[in-house]
Formats: sequence, C-alpha cells, structure tokens
Amino acid sequence: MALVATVVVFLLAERLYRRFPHPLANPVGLAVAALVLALKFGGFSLERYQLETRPLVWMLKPAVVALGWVAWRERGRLGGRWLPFLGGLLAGTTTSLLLTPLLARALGAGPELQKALALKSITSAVAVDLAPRLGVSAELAVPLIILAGILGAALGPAALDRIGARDPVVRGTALGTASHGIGTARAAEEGPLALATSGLAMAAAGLLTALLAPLVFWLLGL
Amino acid sequence: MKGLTGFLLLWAFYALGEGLVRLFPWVPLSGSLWGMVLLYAALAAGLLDEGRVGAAARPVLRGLGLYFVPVGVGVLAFEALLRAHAGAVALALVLGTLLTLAATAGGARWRS
Repeated sequence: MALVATVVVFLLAERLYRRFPHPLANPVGLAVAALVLALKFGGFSLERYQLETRPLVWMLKPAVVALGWVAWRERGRLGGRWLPFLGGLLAGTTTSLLLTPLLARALGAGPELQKALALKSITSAVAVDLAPRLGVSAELAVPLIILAGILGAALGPAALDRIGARDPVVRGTALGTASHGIGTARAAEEGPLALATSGLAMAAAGLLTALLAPLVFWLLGL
Repeated sequence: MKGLTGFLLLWAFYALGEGLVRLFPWVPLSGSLWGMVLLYAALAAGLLDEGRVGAAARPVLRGLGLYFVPVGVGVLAFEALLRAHAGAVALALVLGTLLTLAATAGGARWRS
C-alpha cells in the first residue's frame, strides 16, 4: 500500500510539474514533502513505510549502473573538449566536498550534518549506496541533496549568466556537477550540448566524490 | 524482450560490481558505482550493443526520481536535528551550491 501510494503521489507530482515547470515544483521534492506530511499526520509509522517501499529503492542499483550508459552516450557530444569538462568537474567536486562541510562547521553544525552536506552535489541514486559506506545516513543526505538540486536548478542559470559563463559545455558541467539530476533537467532546457555535459558530469561527479570523500573526511577530521 | 535481457544485464553488472567490492575492499566504490564503471568500459571496448543496453537503461532511468522518494521521506527521523540547525543547513546549502557552480565554471574555463 505504501508502495502504491508513493508511485501515485509521484505521478501526480510529475503531472503538476509538467503544468508548472519551475524548479521549485520539482516532482521529487513535492512527492517527498507530501508523503512526509501524510506519514506525520496520518499515523503511519516510518519503519513500516520504508519496509513496504524497499523494492523501489532496490531499483536504484541498476539505475546507477545505467548511468554508465548515459556517460558513454553523451561523451561523443563533448567533441573532445575533455579538458574543460574535467577541469570543471574536479574544481566543482572538491569545492563541494571541502567547503560545504566547513561552512556548516563554521555555522555550528555537528559532524553528522557536515558529512551529509558534503555529499549534497552527487545524485541521490549514488548517495543511497555511498552514504552508509562513509558513515552518513542516506535518509539525512538525500533530502539535502534534493534541496541542493532544486537550489542549483533555480539559481544556477542566473548565477552562471552573472559570472559570464556562456559556453554550453561550461554551463552543463556546472549544473551537473553542482546539482546532479535536477540540474541536468534544467540544463536540458538550454539545449542538447548542455544536457549531454550535465548528464556526463552527474555520473562523473558521483564517481569522483566516492573516490575523494574518504580522503577529504580524513583531512577534515570527520 | 530486448529490454528484458538488457535489464538483466544491468543487474549482472551490479552483481559483478559487488564482486569487485569484495575483491578490492580498499577501493572506496560501491557495487553499483563499480557496475557503472564496468558498463562504460564494456561499451567503450565494443563488448556490448549500445542499442540493447539503451533499451533497458532508458526505462530504468525514467523512474530514477521515484526510486529515492522513500529514502527522502526518511528525513522524518532527522526532523529534530534539522530543526535545531535549520539556519546553518540553509546557508550551507545556498552558499555551497553557488560556490560549487562558480568553481566548476571557473575550472572549466581554465583550459577552454
């Protein structure tokens, strides 16, 4: 029942998003908010909800594998512009991993939140597997990731305009590296080249974060 | 049929990835990330038909947002923590996202 309800709520949220295609009406964000309220005020236990919806979460495993196909398909559209792509990916991923937890620490957040925030820019699909390996709860990281995606999709294009980034490869790399799938959906509105680089950046940022996070957490004493 | 064999192939790469996690426990990758790397490598090596993989990957990825909704709902367990640090979380998310965007754009322009 929880599984069916989740699918129905998500499909409704998607429908709403198609009518009001603004990043703030993001279907994942809307569905999570609606279900949180339903559980909180409907007296349905979180444990039972998560047990009944587990088959949905299993689908993340083949979905992450499928991102390898996305990366393979999109790499051709880069037209050999690997240096700007990799330069952007490396700069963006290390900035997110290092600076976000430091900002949170300066603002008084504890280690648990610092670590979860460090993962804010990777796709939730990767985070669900990765977070527990890094001693972070996926349930804490994923909502923050969704929010970072919505923020990047809402503010990203204007912020990139402001710093004079007009090249679609640069814009796509930035949206995908900072805001994963939600940023990629936004990049799709800018054209096929921005979409391709953003999808590639999303897959690569997940991989790079997995490889760098243990070192960064050790450096930060987390 | 093409989609089904492709779907089983995605799971097979995941299983292979889990095997590599056991084999190389010092590499900080999860089974699905290993699977992603292996699938890319197999496509690059021409071992797999891109059309067949795509026929399975496309429908699986279409539901990507739906699959992690239940994980997001788990935020209920962290309500008190997030309430206590709402300001810090909001500021870290906004500044962190803008800095990440700017750093990526900066890094991408370095050699373009």
